[in-house]
Amino acid sequence: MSTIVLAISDRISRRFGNLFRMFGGAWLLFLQSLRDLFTKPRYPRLVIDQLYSIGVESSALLLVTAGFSGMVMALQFGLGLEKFGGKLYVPKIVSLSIVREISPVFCSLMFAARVGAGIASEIASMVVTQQIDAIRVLGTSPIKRIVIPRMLACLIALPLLCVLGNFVGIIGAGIVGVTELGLDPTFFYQKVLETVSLVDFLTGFLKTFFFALFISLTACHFGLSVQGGTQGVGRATTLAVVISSISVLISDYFLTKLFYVLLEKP
Amino acid sequence: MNAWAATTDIAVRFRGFKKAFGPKVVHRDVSFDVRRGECLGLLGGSGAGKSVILRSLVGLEKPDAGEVWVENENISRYSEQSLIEIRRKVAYVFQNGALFDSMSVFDNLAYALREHTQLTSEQIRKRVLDTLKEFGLAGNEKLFPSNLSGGMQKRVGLARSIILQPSIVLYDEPTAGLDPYNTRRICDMMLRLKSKGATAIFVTHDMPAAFSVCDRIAVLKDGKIHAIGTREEIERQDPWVAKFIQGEEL
Repeated sequence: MSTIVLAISDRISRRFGNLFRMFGGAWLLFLQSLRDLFTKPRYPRLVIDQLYSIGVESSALLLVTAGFSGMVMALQFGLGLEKFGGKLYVPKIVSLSIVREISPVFCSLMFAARVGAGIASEIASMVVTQQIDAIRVLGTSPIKRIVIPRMLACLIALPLLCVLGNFVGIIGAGIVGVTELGLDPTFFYQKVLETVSLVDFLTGFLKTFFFALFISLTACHFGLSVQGGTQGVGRATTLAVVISSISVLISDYFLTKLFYVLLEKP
Repeated sequence: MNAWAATTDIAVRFRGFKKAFGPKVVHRDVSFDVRRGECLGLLGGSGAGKSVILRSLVGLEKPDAGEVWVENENISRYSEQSLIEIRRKVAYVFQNGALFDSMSVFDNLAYALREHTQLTSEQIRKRVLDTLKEFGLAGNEKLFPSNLSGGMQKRVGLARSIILQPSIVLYDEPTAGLDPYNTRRICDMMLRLKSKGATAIFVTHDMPAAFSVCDRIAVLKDGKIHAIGTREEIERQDPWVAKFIQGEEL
């Protein structure tokens, strides 16, 4: 009996140990990146390259996600509220949901899946093929050349894509509102403009900076700490996507509370 | 500044070097010197920790105890930032080349020049093309590593490592998996670098290559330097070493 208890407690402590090691590693990577960000040399060209592959190449995926999320929301709320004669509230409810939650969170989850996986697998492959060692041996810093450009590109690209996502989501909702629910287009957009305030926009927009940081940090951390060969690359990629997606969802709750206190609480 | 370094011709020194990975102790007490301009062959069975010795010389591994001296500096506790200067003096030739697969051959070679010199792009171009020519790789500058054969990748890796004209070169099995012709070419390049005065440590399982290039041989066994000297000296010292070198059953 005591052996079983010991084995279980050993397993639990190992799991927690790994969890703390992961958060500790990511935190150290963040501090190191922050320190290196302000020292020379800097690589703006690498940031631009990453902005293209992370931002521009993700835009179609994120905009389709935002657009169809808006369409589905409008349809669901429209069909539900129609029974109670509340169809006219669709523009208000949907636009607020999109701007405050749906666009930032859905875009970030898709971003974590596409960009997080890409960053983790690319860096892990570089570790396995000793390219990261080569960067260090050639007297340069993998933090400066690999981590910081990706982190900055995520911090720039995700908020911008989220803003675009807001527009596309609302347009998608508008199309459904007009074609499926029979709402007047002018009425729809007037209600959207009346409803969505700067605080609503900022609540969603500011979250994405945190999400971008969590996604890029997690992906870079798992990529750099890969162990084993190709199997390790696969494991690092999976972990990066899982952990960054969970971070987005968990932190969303706390960030919502934080921004409520900071921006809205009377 | 350490007294020994200023007064002797020693380029690399290990003293009481210990290193373990988890429960596995790789090095218990490694001590040896490499003189300036000398090429030391580092032999030992698989897993003896030969590459760990090389990696410690560029700070890719930190010793658990002991000292690692490069020229006149004890680098065993150096930070990543302090190691940058050391890494400009010490070149590391990886077993598989470790070329940047997203860059062309030209950009792989130009990498260190762009990072560490004030050369103009025209001067960099000339230096890269001259180096490629010297290594028999002229005309391949636009290719990517995936388009190169194994032998060519190793030669590009070697060319990239020495383009900053380092004073110490570390070779991590540069001839592994190569045919005799390419092995000969790599050895010739190593001899050419040696004739220019570069100090070298050559980790290999290729005995003929080691004996053709190295001045002395060190054999790692049980986490220590088991024997060190010329081939004749170490074979005479210990029958185990003679058997190991000749590939006989130990």
